Formats: sequence, structure tokens, C-alpha cells
Amino acid sequence: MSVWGWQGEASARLGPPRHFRLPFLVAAVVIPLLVNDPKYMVGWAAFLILWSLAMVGPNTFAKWVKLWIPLTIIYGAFLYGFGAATEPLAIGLLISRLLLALLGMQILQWSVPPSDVVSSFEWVLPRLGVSLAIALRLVPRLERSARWRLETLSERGFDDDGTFMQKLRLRSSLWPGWFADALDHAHDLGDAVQSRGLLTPRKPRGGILRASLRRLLGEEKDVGGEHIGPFSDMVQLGLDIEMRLPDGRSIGRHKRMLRGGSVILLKGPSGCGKSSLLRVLAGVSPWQHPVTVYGKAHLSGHPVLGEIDISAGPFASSIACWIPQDPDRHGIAESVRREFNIARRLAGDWNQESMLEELEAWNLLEMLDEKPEELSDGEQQRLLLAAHLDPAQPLWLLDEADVHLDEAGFIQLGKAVVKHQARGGLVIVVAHRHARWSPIADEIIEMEVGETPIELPICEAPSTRGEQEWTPPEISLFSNQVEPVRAGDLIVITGENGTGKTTLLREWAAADGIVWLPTSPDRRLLGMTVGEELTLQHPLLLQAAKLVDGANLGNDAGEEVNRLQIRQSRLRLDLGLSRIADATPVHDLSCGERRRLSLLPLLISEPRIMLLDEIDHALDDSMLAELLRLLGKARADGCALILTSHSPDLALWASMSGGRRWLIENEVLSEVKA
Amino acid sequence: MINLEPTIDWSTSPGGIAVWLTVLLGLIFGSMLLSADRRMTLGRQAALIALLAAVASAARVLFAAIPNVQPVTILILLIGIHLGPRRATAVAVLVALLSNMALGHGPWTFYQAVAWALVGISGWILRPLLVSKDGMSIRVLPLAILGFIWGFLYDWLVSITMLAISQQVETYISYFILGLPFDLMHAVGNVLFAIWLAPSLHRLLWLHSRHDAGGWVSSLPEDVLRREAFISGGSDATSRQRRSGEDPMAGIRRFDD
Repeated sequence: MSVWGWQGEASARLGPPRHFRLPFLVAAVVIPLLVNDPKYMVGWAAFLILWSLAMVGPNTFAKWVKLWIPLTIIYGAFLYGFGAATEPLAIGLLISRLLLALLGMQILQWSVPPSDVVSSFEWVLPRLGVSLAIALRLVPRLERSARWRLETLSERGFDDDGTFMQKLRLRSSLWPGWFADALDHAHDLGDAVQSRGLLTPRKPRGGILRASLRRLLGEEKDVGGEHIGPFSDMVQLGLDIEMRLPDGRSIGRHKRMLRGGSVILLKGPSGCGKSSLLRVLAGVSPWQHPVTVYGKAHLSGHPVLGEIDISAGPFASSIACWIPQDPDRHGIAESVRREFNIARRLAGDWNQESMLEELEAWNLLEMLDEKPEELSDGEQQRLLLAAHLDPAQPLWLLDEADVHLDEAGFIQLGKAVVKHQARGGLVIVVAHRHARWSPIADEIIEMEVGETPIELPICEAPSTRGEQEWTPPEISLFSNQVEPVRAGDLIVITGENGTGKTTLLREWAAADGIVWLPTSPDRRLLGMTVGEELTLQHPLLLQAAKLVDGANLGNDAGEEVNRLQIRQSRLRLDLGLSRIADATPVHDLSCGERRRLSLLPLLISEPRIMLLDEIDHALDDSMLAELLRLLGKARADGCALILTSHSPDLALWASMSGGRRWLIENEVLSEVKA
Repeated sequence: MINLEPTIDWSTSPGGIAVWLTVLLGLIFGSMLLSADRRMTLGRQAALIALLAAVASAARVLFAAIPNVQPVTILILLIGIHLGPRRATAVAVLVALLSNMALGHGPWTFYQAVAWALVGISGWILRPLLVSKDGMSIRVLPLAILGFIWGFLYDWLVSITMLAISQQVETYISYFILGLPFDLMHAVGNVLFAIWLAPSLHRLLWLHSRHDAGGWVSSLPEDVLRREAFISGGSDATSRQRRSGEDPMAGIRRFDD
């Protein structure tokens, strides 16, 4: 957690009360300047330190001190060196004042939730307020993204050799990839803001006079705007559009009429334009994407906006409820509670009771004060669905919204969808694993006709169990009741959302230096372009890429580079990445392509054990089959595979391939006997 | 009669000048912010401003250990070049707000925001000198020179804080002289950051600008209409022919002829 930012709801409760924040800020700056008596200065310092400790605990406070003490010493040395003050005592006093003022301001920083800062912009500069909210969300992401890059460098062996300066140069050369990743995340947040209508300036519901009168009369807050009755029969979506990329390639031609009261399942391979269609219907594309849409699209029967010509966008208000892929990239607020507040800012305030019911239904009640980034992928997905499945919108667009959900989560989502359908709403679902959706879908639309169903390839289990490779270490969260891992083992770890599957893999990887692939590919990508990424997949490949013409690395290293390059090319071909030009920016690739690109260095390094988190995420059936075939080959060569998944298909595949199953339940990791 | 003489005397003194200059700058600055806010209609515009502010703030905090060396000035210069004065102003305000959450707020926050906004405006005005004719690459040398100049100008503008607070020109001058080594560090830092960051950042901002390429055309493309006319004609002909027992490929041959 960042030492700078807001430290959570508990700190907010212990911080200065809302209406005393400004006076406290003034006092925090002025008191150290006015107080000359060291006795009072020490008293004020002790008060601030005790308050900070109570608010954020000793660890965060120690981090703050660790950063500021050396900095203030450097500043003091500069002041002394340039003659701004000559007496050491005077310099000491100046520094103490500076530190006390900073600590006072830091107390505010720790306790004031960013959304309160943002809400102060709402009436004058509402859109810049949204910018500030996004910026506050991006700052911790920038920090995490930098940490992932360092972890990836270390995992790929870049930290093993080289001088300090070489390592520093390498690290500092990674910033464009880091920035491009942040730009991509910012784009996703921008899409979320646009589709949810958050750029609309806030207006008092029913006018200022009515609101004041209602307050004077002590009436309840109006919860209007949240449409809870059935929709009219007029909910219809008429499409006659063709979507094209800037190079003129078509990514979908849609000519059909979809009526309310139905659930439509879109099927098709990666890259056929399913997500692009949902973005167009959500009012996000083509204004925010390099896509040209030809033709007409109309949505009728919207309870507030009536007939909507979607081509007349971009819209200030929300026209549909869009749940995009990757829940960790689309949440705006800093806590679960505040995500709910933002979600209902425009659609109508949450009735406290209905909010609690919703939280309980989605199993989030105990996480009300948590920060979204500290939740697991499944919990973040639940949060996005619980907060943003807006019953007031007749059109729901769900883009792989069930990928991270366990069975209980999917049942909850299914219930919400069926309820919406019964009210006359139209639900369009995109899913790669459609077995879950088929029973409730009224219509299945094939985006590419003629796609044949693909069977997942059964990989042969080794005839005899290999050598014992590794015994999973005990970590603080779980107790292990599993047998050791042997060469060629295939193990699927299952468990409900939030049981700690990802944490388990991360901790094991850190404890025993095993390679692991997180669900989000962006955690393991370093370069800005595909070419840069490929050279950064192994230290020798980078060295070879830096060589000027005619130079060579020596015989052994040269041969190793050749071997690596050949292996990389073959794997690129197998993973369907060979057609992508090296100059393509990494973040122009689809999520599935990025996922495969991030898997490449793992396969190149031929490890003895691989930890793979939700390997089927964002992959279509044919690509998943190809990937499982490759993993089967690695397994045959003696590599042990440990996967996590919620997919029943993958669990079945593993059991048919002679794999083992581990289950996390009640903080115990246990072996499930077949 | 109201005696305006003391007010006039004060307003022509250095302290008075600092105050009315602050008010004037504040008005210009405020109107630019309002204008930037009103023109923001897309979520991605808000997000880009947010990202640039977040990156600049994080970078400023990261380099806090080296007094007055930070990449914000060069970043805002590039933002001015690419995105124009209004958005550069918006980024300037957010950077001052965000980074000072870590480094300390005070009256200087306002002057920092104003000075960075002016940096962005200068980038926009001098764009023809700073970017190649086709707009594809940045000219590092003129950018470094401009960054060097702004290293001093920025600090002198922020030093108005002292003049506005103390109302004494002597304080301002002593502050100004003492600050010269720090100003030099800022200027040299800007030159180094221009060399290190500018080419890649130019490319990254270009990556974002490609997203403006999308659009909506109300009529379908000619080739789609032709293809569908052919398919529907073909299928009509085929079903007619099927019913009458004729060759189902006749429709396609007709088109080929």
C-alpha cells in the first residue's frame, strides 16, 4: 500500500472530522511557524505522532519517517552549503518546522478519502474532478506497475549479472512500456467514465428549490431514477452497422432487430469483434477508439432518454449498462463502499437497505471498507457487477463478466440476468466458455459462421510418476495437506472467490523462486512494442539485440542465443503470434494475445514447475486447445503444471488428462481424491 | 470622497504589483480551467489528463531527493505541444494538487500551477519550432533550450509567493539570489529530461492521438451494399431456381457475366 495515499475507511474515521479539515490544514501549517518555545514544539510533535500511529499504525508511519528524514537532512545540507542559514541550531529548527507541517498535511492525506476531494470539484469543475478521481486511482497503479516490472526482470534473470549501472540503465529504459501500460489503464478508466455517464455535471434532483423544501420539511431523499418496475414493450435494439479498423478490415457486420425480454449470447473466436460491438452499443466506440462504424443503430424504449440514435453520440449520460472485461481496470473509487456511491451518483442514490441487500447477495458485505485493488479478481468482478448492474438501464452488455466468478457468483449473476429479462430488459452476453450461458440464452448469435466446436486436447499422463520435484511450502494463510509435486504432474487448484488461490501462487513463487503467470498479462509485459517485448524475454536475447553489426557474443553464448531465438519463433508460431508485426504496440493487442505473449518467456525458459493463474482467461476455444497442447508437451518433458481455474471444462480436462485436484476450503489446502 | 491615494500607492509598490499580478493570473488561469472543463466531452480526454498528471506527480515525488530536479516542466511542455494550452493548464493544476499532497501544500501551490500552465502555453505557441514539419518527431535541441530557460523563469514566477506574502522587495531579491543555484539545477535537470524523455513521450502521446481516428458514417460502405445486393439477389434467384429445379449457381454466373 502506498505510504502517501488514503489509508482506508478506518483512517478516515480517525482523521479530522469532515468540516474541520480546512481549519486543521491551516493549523498544521501555521502552528509550527508560530511556536518558538521548544517545549510546545515537542508537545505538538508528540500529539501529531501519536495521532498518526493510531491512524495508520507503526509500519506506515515508519515508512513515512524513513523517506522524509533523509530528505530533510539533504535539504538542510543544501541550506547550509548555500548559506541560507549558518547556525546548525537554526537549520535544525527550520527542518523540524518543515517536518511537523508535512506530518500535519500527511495526516489529512491519510484520512481524507479521494472521493471527498473530488466531490469538492463537482459544482464548478465537474469533469476535472473526474480527472482528479482517475488520477488518484492511477497513482497506486503506477507504483504497482513499476513493482511488477522489477519482479518480471528478476524472474527472467536480468538481476543475476551486470554492474549496478547496467541494471540501472536497463530499469530506466523500461519507462515507455510502463507509461504505455498506464495509458492503456487510463483509456479503460476513460471508457468506464464515458459509459457510466460520469462526465455529466451533477444536478440537484428535482431542482435546488424542491430539494431545499424537501430538506426543510424533513422528507426522505428521493430515490427516483432507479427504475424498478417492468420496462415498456418498446425496448428494441435495431442494428444495421458495419465496423471497420483503420486499415479497412471489417470486424463485424450486424443487421438485426433485438427485442427486450431476451438474453442474447454472442459467440465467436478472438478478434471477431464481439467486444467492439458491445463498446459501440455502450456509446464508447467509435469516439474513443480507432474504429469506424458505418450505418445506423437505434435503441428504443429507454425509460429516461426514450429513442436513442446511437450514432448521435458521444452521450453525456449513460445509455446502457456495460460490464467490460478485466474488473481490475474499470473501478473508479477507492473502496467498495465508495464504488457503490459513485455507481449510483447519477442513477439515483442507494437506498441503504437495498445497498446492503445487494452487498450481502454478492458476498461483499464484509469487504465494505476494503480497497478494490486488494480484492481478488473474482471479488473485484463481484464488486463491479454488484455496483454497476444498473436496473434502470434496459440494455445490459456483459463482456466476459463471468470469467472470474465461482459457481455461487455465477448463480447470482444468472439470477440478476433472468430478473432483468423478466422485466423486459435486453441482455447481450459475450462469453468464451458458453456452457454456463447456453441454458439461459434465448438466442445464440455466431459471429463467424461455420466455427466448429473444438475439443480440448487430452494430454497423456506420464506412464510412471516422475521424481519428487517440490514440496509446497507452508504459508501464513493456509495449512497444507497435500502431497509433494512430482515431475510431469498436472494439478488444478480450485476454490471459491476470495479463498486465496492467486495469493497462494504468488507466495509460492516468491518463496521458492518458481516462475508464475498472473491472470492479468500486463503484470508480465515489459516492452512498449512487440519487438521490444520479445528482446526483453531473456537477458541473452537483449544482449544480442544490443550488438552492433559484426559483433558477436562468443561461441557458447552465440549458440544459446540461436537456440533461444529458434525456440521463441516456434512458440510464437504455435501460439498464433507470428503474424503480429514487431512494431505493433503491445497494448494494441487483444487481451488474449497479450496473455499468450506473456506466457512465451515461461515456455522459453523450460522450467521444471510452472504456476499458471486462470490460464483460460480471454482465450477462445481454439487458442485454449492449442495452449493446452503446448502445456501437454511441456508436461511430457517433465514439467509440473499447477493451474488455478473456475472453469468446469478445464477441471474436467485436467481429470481426463490424469491430473490431480487441490481444493482450498476453510483455509486448508487439501488433495481431492478422484 | 473616498481617498484612493493609499490604495494607488500600494498597487504600484512591488508588493501591490505582486498581488494584482496574482489576481490577474488567477483570472486568466481560472477561465482557462473552466474552458478546459467545458470542452471535455469524452471519458478518455479526462483519463489522459489524469494519467499525465499522475505520472508527472509520481515523477516529481520520485525525484524529490534531488532538490529542484524534476521532470514536470518538460512533461508539461510536451503536453502543451501535443494537447494544447487548455489541457496543459488542467494538467498543471492537477500536478500541483497531487504532488503537493506528498510534498506539502502552501501558497506556492497556486504559483506552481500558474507557472506550469504558462510552460504549457509556451509549448503550444512554439510548437512549429519544437516539432518536425511532419509532426512525427520532436526536435530535442530547441526543446532542451526552452527547458533550460523555463528552469529559471519557472522558479522566479514561483518566488512571487514570497513577494506576495512579505510585501517587501528586499525579501524577494534575497530569496531570488539564494535560489539561483537551485534554479540552475532545475534548468540543467530540464535539459537532461528533454534528452531522456522527450522522444519516447512524443511517440506515446502520438499513440494516444491515434484514438481520435474513429468516427461514425451514417451510410453503409459501397462495397457492403454491393455484396449484400448480390447475396440477396443470388439467394432469391437460388430459391426460385430450387423451386423450379433450375441450376442453383445460375445467380452467381449471372453476376460474373
